[in-house]
Amino acid sequence: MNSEDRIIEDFFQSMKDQDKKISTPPVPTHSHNKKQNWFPYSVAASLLFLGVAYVIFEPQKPVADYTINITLEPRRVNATQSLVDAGISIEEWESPTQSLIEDF
Amino acid sequence: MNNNWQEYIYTQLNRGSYLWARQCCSYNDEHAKEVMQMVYLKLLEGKATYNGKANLKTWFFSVIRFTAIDFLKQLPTHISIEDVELNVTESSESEVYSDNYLEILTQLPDRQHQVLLLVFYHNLKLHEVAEVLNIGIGSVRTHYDRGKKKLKALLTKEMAL
Repeated sequence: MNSEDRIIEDFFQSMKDQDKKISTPPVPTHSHNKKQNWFPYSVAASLLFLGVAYVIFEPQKPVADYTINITLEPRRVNATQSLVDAGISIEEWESPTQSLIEDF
Repeated sequence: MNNNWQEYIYTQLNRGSYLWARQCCSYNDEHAKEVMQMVYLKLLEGKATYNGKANLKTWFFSVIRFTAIDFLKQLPTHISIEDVELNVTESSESEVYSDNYLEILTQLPDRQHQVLLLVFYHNLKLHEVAEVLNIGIGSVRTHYDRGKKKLKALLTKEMAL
């Protein structure tokens, strides 16, 4: 190394010494792998979460305070019934003009 | 393989690459930080991938240099007078010296300045400097020889004062 290089070496060495007080910014801390697109995964996870939450916290339908029991029973008919419940016998029938014959 | 070279950059080259970014940005710390963010983003997004053909350090320094060039092109060339802040502070002896070496180096032409920095500051060989600056080895030798002579003249003049 000649004297020319020595002078230049010394100059750059002093420059390096001066630069030691310069702080270096931190290296990014996130993953070194290729960046992934997480959007579809996040949407799927959100939908799954909402589904599970709906099943767990499904709103209960209001229950009535009383119950109605309806029992169906066949109607028992032991005897035939007359279609004419009440009627006027022919023997008791009286002509509306009978009184005219009798009085006059 | 992929994580190995990235890990090497993060652990072994971080300091030197930041200083190189700073030198590419006219010794502006804020600009250098921006450039390094952009460079690391390129690595993470796979836009800059090391293929193993060149030396890792020269490849990474080349990425930093091109990123710095792109970044500096985007900066506004004129600054409004309202945006300029004037700070008057007393400078210590070391700061005077720091300004002094910057003053000397900035008197060199850009190519000579960069070649000398890469050789004497970052300990690269001339063919590696050619890869970083993307120029021929003959041009590097020319800039190297002229740069050394000019720098020696400046230093001799500085010492005489």
